[in-house]
Amino acid sequence: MGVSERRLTILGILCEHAGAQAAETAGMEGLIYSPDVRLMRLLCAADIDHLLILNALWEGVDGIFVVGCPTERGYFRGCSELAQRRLQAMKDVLEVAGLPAERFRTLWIEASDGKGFVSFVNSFYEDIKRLGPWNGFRGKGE
Amino acid sequence: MNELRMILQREARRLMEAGQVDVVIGYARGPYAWTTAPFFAFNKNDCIHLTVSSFCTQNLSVYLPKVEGRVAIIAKPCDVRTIIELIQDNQVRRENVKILSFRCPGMLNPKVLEEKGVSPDQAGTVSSKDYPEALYDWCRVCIHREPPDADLKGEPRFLFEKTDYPMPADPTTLADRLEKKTPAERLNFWMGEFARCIRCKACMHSCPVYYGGGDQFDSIEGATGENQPAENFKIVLSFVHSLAGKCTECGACESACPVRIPLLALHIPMYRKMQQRYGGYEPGLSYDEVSPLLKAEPMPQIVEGG
Amino acid sequence: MSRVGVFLYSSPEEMGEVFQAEQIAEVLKKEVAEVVYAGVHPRLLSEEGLRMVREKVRTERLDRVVVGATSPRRYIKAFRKAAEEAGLNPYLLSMVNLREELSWVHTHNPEGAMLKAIEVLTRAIQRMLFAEPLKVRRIRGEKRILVIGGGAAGIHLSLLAANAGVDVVLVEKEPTIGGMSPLLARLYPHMEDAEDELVPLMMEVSQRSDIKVYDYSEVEKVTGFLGSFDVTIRKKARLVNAEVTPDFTRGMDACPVEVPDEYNAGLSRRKALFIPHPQAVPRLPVIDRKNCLRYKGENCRLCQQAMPEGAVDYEQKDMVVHERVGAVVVATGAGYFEPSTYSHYHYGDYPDVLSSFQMERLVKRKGLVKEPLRRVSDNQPVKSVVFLQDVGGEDTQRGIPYATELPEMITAKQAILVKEIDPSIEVYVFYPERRSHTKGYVEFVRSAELKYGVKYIRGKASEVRQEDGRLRVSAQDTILGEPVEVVADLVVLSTDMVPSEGAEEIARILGVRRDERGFFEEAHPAFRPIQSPQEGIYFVGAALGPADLREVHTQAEGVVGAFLADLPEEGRVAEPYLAVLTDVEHCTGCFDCGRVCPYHAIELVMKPGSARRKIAHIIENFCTGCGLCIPVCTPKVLDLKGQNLKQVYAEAEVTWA
Repeated sequence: MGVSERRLTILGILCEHAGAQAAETAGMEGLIYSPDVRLMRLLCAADIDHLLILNALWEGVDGIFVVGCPTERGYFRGCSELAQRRLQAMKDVLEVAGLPAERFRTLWIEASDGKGFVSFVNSFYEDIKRLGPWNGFRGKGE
Repeated sequence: MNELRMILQREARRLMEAGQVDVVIGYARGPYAWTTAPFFAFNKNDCIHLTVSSFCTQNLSVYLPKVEGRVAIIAKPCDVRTIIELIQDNQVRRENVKILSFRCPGMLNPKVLEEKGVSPDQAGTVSSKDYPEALYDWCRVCIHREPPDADLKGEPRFLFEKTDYPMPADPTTLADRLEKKTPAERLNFWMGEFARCIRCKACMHSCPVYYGGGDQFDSIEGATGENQPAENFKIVLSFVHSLAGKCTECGACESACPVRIPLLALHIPMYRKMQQRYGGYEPGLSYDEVSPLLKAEPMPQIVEGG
Repeated sequence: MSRVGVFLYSSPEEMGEVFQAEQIAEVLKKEVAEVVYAGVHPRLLSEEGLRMVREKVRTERLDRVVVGATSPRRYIKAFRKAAEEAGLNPYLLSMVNLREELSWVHTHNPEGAMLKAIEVLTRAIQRMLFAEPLKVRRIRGEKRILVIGGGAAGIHLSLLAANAGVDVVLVEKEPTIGGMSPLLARLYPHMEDAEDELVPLMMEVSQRSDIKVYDYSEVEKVTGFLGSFDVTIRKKARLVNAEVTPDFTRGMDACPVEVPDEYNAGLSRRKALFIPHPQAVPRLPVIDRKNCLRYKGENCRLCQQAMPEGAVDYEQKDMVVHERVGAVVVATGAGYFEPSTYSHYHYGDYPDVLSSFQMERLVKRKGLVKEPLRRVSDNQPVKSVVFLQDVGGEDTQRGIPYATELPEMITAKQAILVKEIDPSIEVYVFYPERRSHTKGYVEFVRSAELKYGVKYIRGKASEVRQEDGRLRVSAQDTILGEPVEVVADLVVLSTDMVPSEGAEEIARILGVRRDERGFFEEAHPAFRPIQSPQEGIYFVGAALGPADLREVHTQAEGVVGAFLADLPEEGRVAEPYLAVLTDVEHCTGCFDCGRVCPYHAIELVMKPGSARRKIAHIIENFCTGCGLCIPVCTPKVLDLKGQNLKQVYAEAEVTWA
């Protein structure tokens, strides 16, 4: 049948302090993951505008994940807890609206945990591969 | 109902005469059958037009931040909860507001009443006592039928005794029915609904505790400003997210929607989720509890049930 | 249109095969309109690379620069400086990590890595297009520190800080400052008298106007951040009024309670109304509520009755005070491991089996006043002393999982002191292994053996038993491989330090972590050894792990230096990130932003031109630029300078473009 498989697009938003550092640690440890996982840095996981997540889904990004500081160990006081609450609410909104909430995942991790980062990324990647591509609302209803 | 109307008119008049308020915000009969419309009484004679019925679906507290001076406002219990939110958020000062509230039997959907052959002439008297199946979804799920705070309380019964809240034979709401569907079916449902959306943002403008207003979506990053179903769905979800932990399920947004998109089927499940996650949190019941989404505390551990 | 320059690190050894820098540069030049220069350098992370950036910024008139190399965390500063030297605002340069986040993790997929590299760089370029020129910020703070713990570490640190012009709030939970160090006999390796060294410092601390001492007080709450911490301190009631009379002798005599005196290692007894020790600072009595009969439900008033009216006040209340400081230093010290789990040594059972601290009290000043060393049990002169060095060290079963040189040093010091009292006393040390390593310490231990004739035997004692009124220590000499048995009048069990009892509570109050041994955890063992991961909280001395005065002093100096560097007069250096109110008109003053701000950097002010409405106002000096307020703003009238929403969306959109 030859269904041409398009590359998956997975967007990882990392906080500068734990997420990005964990990703760097993973590099130092010689771990590997798919280049379909694109990484983008923000100062803090709690800086994520919920519209950014919605936009990514709308535009057909197959998976979005956020990596921030561990609970109660945030670089900024309380940043991880606040981010967890607000992103959980975002996930709830997706669920309520019937959007694929499973394409959005969060990880709260120590900067030194490269292995944890990569195992999270790889399992998320596998899950997204299983779910298949998501096309968002591109070209719909226009 | 007449009795409550009289009490409210009398109280409004008294406050006006005593010079305690400069304006009374209430409902008057609307221009169309069944409806009520917001009414601002600036003197004691205006008070005669004030009314309440089972069709006061607007949340008048949306006007509070915009009105100068001392105000008396007629508010359903869910509206009182938004007033409490407004006071918490520095939009209104408690000492400037006289809250005229009452026990509420719930608001009715005229469409259902018409189907049952009820005449619009009865708009002034009909209530959920007679037609519980006409209750709006948000009034079906409401358990706070008494105002958490009010300057006029206790006495006005608004037809019902404390325990006397009739429920329709089938109390389920659209939110319950959607919850049972698959995500794909839900999404499909909403895409169908939003195909009608005209991006008037009435839902956002009618909400007292949504400070965004809605017009920001025409110019901010992350929104295109286009009137296009998916885009409109997106900004409404943003609205729903912003209201998590603030929405009191007053139903004003859904009532305001000219194309009748059932927005409460988004708000009700969010309200429940917030309640579940954050130790039964419900907005607008106290002056010092703020939304759990504004608190930097670890998420409470909850047991995910099937 | 912007003129963007891209610089790529092309070292094949560093970046690996998958990273084809030249190809990527070509693609970017072709595909991204704003890119006017894209160059590679195999030694980009060196002076040569910096020179290349400097030159190209000038010659190509670049107004945005993206460097694709390794971790910006380490290298971006140098590149920003280079850009600045070439006349470009340093914050118009950004750096992406193409090594740890790309070439090293995608070695298995060169094609994907190539595409991703182009995307990552495009993303960085798009983000930079909306970047604004920024300046480093300076955030001022309180030039005042809170020191928790008034032992040797806290005292030394307080004096150093005060000398450096930093005001000090010193909180000590015991009724006297000084801790245990002034109660010791001598200090190694130079054998100064501990009391003479430390008591004058205690006095100086109490006399200085720039050091505020809260004795018999506890820190209850600390909130804030580097530059501005609010501290709540509970001043515990001593239940006495020293203004009535300075002399409490009669009250103390009247007190019917007698408990072991912890300030004399339990070798003598004290009352429940007592003055800790003669050198106590302040030299004030206190009623010890743990032992006073009144606090055990009895109606004893004997001390009150023996004293003038008002001198003893059982109703006295604790006082709660607030202080504001710029930093917090934890100097809570440590305790010593109690060897009672080693029942075969009979510590606490035989009176002549002593802890190091008891031995310290026993030998104190004896050599100088030419008094003989006597047994605790029957006061007979001592002819032989056995030291069991480091009981409990590296013993996960009954002891502690770690070991340091501390027990070895204490043992050597006390062995020398015994020999100084009377060279004819036989002194044996059973040691598990040599652990001293600090400069001069190896020689010190050696001198005990060679100069003073202390007999060192490698091996652990298997048993201490009482026979014919003396003690017998059996052990295996692990060098000679044969059993030994030594007769002793005193057996001293030297042990290592363990976390102090209050450490857990202090950690909770400050929100800092402790390591697996229970000591406070530093931000990094090598690079930030005295700092907590949370800026503005420092550790000194045994709070961090077993430490002697040498380490305490080194760390105290480090902490003062670190504080001065972290919070200089002109304010601490902060990244230019800053929350800004972009639309005054649409701010409703709901204060959601202020509610989530961890730094209390947002206040409400009257809206210009309105008598009623309020709007948010960002207090720049408090704002750390974390951005937590940005997404909670519903009208979207807040933005973050340095990471504005335009930049974030421009970058994100490349992903799905």
